[in-house]
Parts: sequence; C-alpha cells; structure tokens
Amino acid sequence: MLNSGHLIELAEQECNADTAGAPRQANLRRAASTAYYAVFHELLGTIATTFVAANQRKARALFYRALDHKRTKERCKRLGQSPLPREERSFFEMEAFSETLRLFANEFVALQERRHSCDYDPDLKTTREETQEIIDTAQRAIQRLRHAIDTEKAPFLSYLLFGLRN
Amino acid sequence: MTDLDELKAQTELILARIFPAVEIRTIEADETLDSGGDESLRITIVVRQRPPRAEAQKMSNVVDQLRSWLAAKGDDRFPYVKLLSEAEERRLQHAGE
Repeated sequence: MLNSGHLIELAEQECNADTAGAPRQANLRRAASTAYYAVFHELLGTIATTFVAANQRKARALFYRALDHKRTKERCKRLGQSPLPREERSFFEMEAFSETLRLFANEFVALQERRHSCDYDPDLKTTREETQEIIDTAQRAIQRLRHAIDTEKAPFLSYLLFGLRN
Repeated sequence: MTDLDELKAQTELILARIFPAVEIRTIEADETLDSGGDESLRITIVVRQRPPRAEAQKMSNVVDQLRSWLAAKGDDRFPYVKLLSEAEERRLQHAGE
C-alpha cells in the first residue's frame, strides 16, 4: 500500500521547491494534487486493513481498489452533513457522524475538488500559502481518519464502499 | 435556495466567531457547478492576514458550520471556501507560470 506520509512529504517538497522568483504554478498544482492523493490512499488503505485480514493479500488488493473518486466524493458530501440527509439518518439511526468523521468527509470533498482544478483548470492560479494550507488540510484529514473511533469508522467506511440500496 | 447576501453575512458571522482576531476585507459568494456537475457554492474570503498556521485548521469548522446552516434551510449544496490574504490576492493578479 502506498505510504500517505511519503505523499505528503512529496507535496511539501513541491510546494517549497527552490525556484528563482515566484513559485512555479506547476509545482504548486502538483503539490495540491499529491496532497489529495495522500488522503485518498490513506482511505483506501484504511478500508483494506479494516475489512480484510493481513494474510488475505489478494482480497486486500481488491478492497484497496474498491473506491472510485467520483462516488466517494458524492458519498462524503452526504456523510459530512449535520444532520445527515433523511435516508442516511434513518439507516444509521443517528443525527450525524462525530465531528472527526464529518470534518474528514468535508475535507475530502474540498481536496478532491481542488485536485480537479489543479489538474484540469487552465486558468487556476494559486499561492504558496494556499497550497501549504491544502497540504496541512490533507495531513489533518489523514489524522482524523486514523483517530476516528472504530464503532463509527466501520459504518462510515462501509457506506463509502456500498452506499445505501434503494 | 439560499440568498447569496445572506450566505455572505452568515460566513462573516461564523468566521468572526471562529477567528476573532482575523480582519475580514471582502467575502464573495457565487453559485456554480462543481467538477462532478453538482450545484455548489463558492465562497472567497479575503482577510488582512491569514490566521497562524496552527489555527488555520479551524477553517474546516467554518465549512462544517456553514453546511449545518445551509441544511437547516433545506440547501444541500456544498460550500467550497477559499481563504486568501490581501497580499496573496495582489500577487495572484500578477502571477505568471
């Protein structure tokens, strides 16, 4: 599994690359994009290790690859709401996930949107400070996911995998 | 749908509560579609100076509180919030490659 900490380090290096004059937009864009991927891979790794035993390597690989970007963002949008949307509230029998997971979900949405702009918006201009804030947000999102309590994390991750059936 | 002036006022209120020392210069809000094609809100806040790095994590609470406020009005659009300092805003106007 890809080490999310190493991706964050890579993002920091891009953000603080030593170039003459103003930082290059290409460096800043790559940094923000890499920061998002750090969170995405942390999430994939968390799913694989939460649901599959360590000795089931092939099964872990399948779980690691189970999420796609678009659907995960859509589901994070719903899980980040407080109160949850009606269907989710009824299914989970609670008003909202804890602040830790809610903030993770909303940070994931914002980071993915930023990644998309960095990769595809020709007009985007950004600053080193803004990029550093994005990297810091990614680091915090990773920590939130790590520190979320297991009783909440399992249903949260299961929903990201499967959503709710109508 | 939420009125954009009301959204700006609420953003200012939340920001002042979470970052009492931050001096807000301008808040812009727009309706837009995000990369997934979902109706969304984009809010750009320009402040005199960014909050210290250690405190900037509270920006996630700004989004969280805005989402709750929007949800209470039946608005499930995601608010994408961007924070810039005045100096950054000036630099962006002249940013090259």
